[in-house]
Amino acid sequence: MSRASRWTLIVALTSAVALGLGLPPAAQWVGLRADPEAYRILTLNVPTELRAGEEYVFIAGIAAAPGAIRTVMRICPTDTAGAPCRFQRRRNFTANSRPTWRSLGAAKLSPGTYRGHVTLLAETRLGAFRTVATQSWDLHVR
Amino acid sequence: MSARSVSGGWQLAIAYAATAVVASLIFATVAPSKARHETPDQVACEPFGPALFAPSGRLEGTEAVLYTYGTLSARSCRPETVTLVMRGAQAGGVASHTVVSVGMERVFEGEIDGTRRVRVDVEPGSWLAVSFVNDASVDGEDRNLWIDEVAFEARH
Repeated sequence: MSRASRWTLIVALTSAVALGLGLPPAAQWVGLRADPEAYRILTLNVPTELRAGEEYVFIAGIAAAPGAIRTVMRICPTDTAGAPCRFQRRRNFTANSRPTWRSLGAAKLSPGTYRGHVTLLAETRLGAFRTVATQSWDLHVR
Repeated sequence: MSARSVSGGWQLAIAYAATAVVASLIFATVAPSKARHETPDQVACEPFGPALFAPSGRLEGTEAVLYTYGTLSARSCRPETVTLVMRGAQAGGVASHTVVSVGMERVFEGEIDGTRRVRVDVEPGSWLAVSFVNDASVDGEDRNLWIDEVAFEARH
């Protein structure tokens, strides 16, 4: 076997072992608690009946194991076929062992119907953020 | 030792190192972490609050005022009926928009202009949260939310 062939074999075997054992998805959990109760949205205090042009803050109660937490809120129109979902707000904070109520972001919307989505992400030991909880709700703006 | 066998040794070392990295990552994934802590819901139910989460507000006993958006939250560990007496004000023709949740259930949502009393049954361990979500100041009028009373009464 030539030197190049041996190197190719080593790289291929190492990659196969990593991929075969499901390393990419498993590695995302490193440093996170695996039990689903460790990261929870406790309450969703978001307005669902809004006035057009008024600014509203969207709030969620969050319980999370200590570490870096990120929330991502998206509000997407549901009454316009193919309308893009342009609204997105991102917030970062550090969780301790106490529950907390935090703003997911503020929005001033035009009349219509929308669906809101919040994603809770926690930072792994490798520095990536993994989704640990999600919730959605309907909004009517008049 | 020939140059060929030295080269083979390096390749073997790299292969061992790669395997060690993979194994340590897998171990870190499945092994219990020393840094793990219990979140409040993992331990036995502990009462919580009332507590205020707001950039600007005040909480004194069972009375609170939210000068900006924010939340008053509490948790009970026995079946109780909670009575909330809330007071809002208009600014720019719009009153204080308030959302009351028990866990993921929304039990009240609306604009409060004047005084509003809300009674809600809570089960042991459930989280109660009262949020003011449309703070504004328009032409000298200031929109706030006053929570004049949060009363917990045991339910039998």
